[in-house]
Amino acid sequence: MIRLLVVDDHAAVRAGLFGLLRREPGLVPLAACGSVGEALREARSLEPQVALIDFQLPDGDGLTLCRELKLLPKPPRVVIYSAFARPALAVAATLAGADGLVDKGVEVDDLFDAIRAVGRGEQALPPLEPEMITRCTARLAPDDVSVFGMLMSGTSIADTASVLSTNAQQIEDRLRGMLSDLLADSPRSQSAPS
Amino acid sequence: MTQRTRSGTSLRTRVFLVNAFVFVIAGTLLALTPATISVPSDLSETLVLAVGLTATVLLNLLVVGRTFAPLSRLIEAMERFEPLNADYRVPVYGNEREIVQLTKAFNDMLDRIERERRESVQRSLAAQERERQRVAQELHDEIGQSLTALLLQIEGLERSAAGEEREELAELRQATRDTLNQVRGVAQRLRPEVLDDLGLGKAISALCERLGEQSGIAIGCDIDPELPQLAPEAELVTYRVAQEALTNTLRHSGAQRAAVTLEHDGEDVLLTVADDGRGLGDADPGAGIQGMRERALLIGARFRIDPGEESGAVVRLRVDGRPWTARPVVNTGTEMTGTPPR
Repeated sequence: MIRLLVVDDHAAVRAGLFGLLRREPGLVPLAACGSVGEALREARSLEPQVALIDFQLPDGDGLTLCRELKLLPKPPRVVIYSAFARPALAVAATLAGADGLVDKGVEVDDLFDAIRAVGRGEQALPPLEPEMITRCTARLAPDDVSVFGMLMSGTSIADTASVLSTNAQQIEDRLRGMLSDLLADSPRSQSAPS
Repeated sequence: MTQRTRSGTSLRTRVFLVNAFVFVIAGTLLALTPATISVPSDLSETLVLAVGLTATVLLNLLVVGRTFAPLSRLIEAMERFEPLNADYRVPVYGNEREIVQLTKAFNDMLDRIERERRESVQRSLAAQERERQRVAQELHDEIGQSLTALLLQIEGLERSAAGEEREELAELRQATRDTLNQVRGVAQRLRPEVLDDLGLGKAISALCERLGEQSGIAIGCDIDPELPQLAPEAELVTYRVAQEALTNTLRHSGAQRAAVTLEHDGEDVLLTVADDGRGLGDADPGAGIQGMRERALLIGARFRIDPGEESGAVVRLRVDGRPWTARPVVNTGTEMTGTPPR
């Protein structure tokens, strides 16, 4: 039995998802929240095993929420469930320490499979193409590239901090900076090229 | 025009010298020959006078004409200028000061117009991209989310229904999913995030694959894996040109096959989109072609559209992969349309 927290800013998606999960044997949705703040409160009190999180939220984004949840005393495992189709989201989700990433376009049974896999302690992240990682690295500040490399290869934040002789909070801050760099809009549409 | 360069004599001096020369010759002839004119002059005197004057005037015309010849060539060169060939500059003919200055002034004016045009195209393209991004976002966040909600609710109903009702709900769910995929497809076309995340080669092969699936037309896609890295604007232009060319092919040409190649020639990246459709014959060079041309100009790329070897049309784009600063300044009038990309 997997206890779940559902986070989505769209009320009808939230309701539909909650209803489906409740019907599914072995899955127990505990609550459905519409914002980062609400999700953090519920996660603290309900201690779900898996949080199913939309990427776009009114008071932040799913990956920031993922980071916050991972800092809780009993961190849930996290599945990002998003219609946000950018390939770089896979890199960002991996960096954010999410355990799964499921596109909202897939069949519901595939979502359930991913939730069960993550609940068992497996990962349900899409494979990352080396080319994509290269392009993503190019978006980061040069200082961050080594931290990015260590975190992406699975080094924990504490170990990364000790290797770079700094503290975990600093690595955490840099990680969040990198998340927004990775998913920043292209400079092309922001200003006229020179 | 602050620069009074190594130009020769001025036109005014030349005309003055020519006239002076002719007058001196005529005067000298008059002084040295025994010709005299009585008043009233008789017929033979009038004849000699007329011949002499005509010769003087013709000589003058000939010499002054030669002096002004570079001006005519300059005018011809100016007339040959067409706005779509942004690199064309008028060569300097002759070394008369006014002509050198006029040529330089004309070329300076072309530079200014070109700079302003480029800036305004850049602004309007950036605005267009922003607007596309906004529409894509709204499609995605609002309609996409609502359809997702609908899909989940139908799915819920379907799971608790039985028999015929269940089948109907399954059909309804499929229809909703198709609509959701269409909306996501439109959003993706409007905002090519794939380009940012996967690079030009992957983005173009994804484009071929998607359009091929949608249209049922076989779209071949040959991408050189060793492409030089282009500037972000150049990547976007190349992607948009491929997208526009393929869209034209699918919409208007009646083609059965299309082929996209992306290769490199030294530092240049070459995009070719060919099809076996009706070609350009009856098509008007509409906004699509004009749009591709404008985008190409913006990044200083060469754009061509030609009839295919047997049928159809071939769109070619040659993008200079070097940064702006590393490019030579083109300043000759000898080449009107640039090297046709091969």
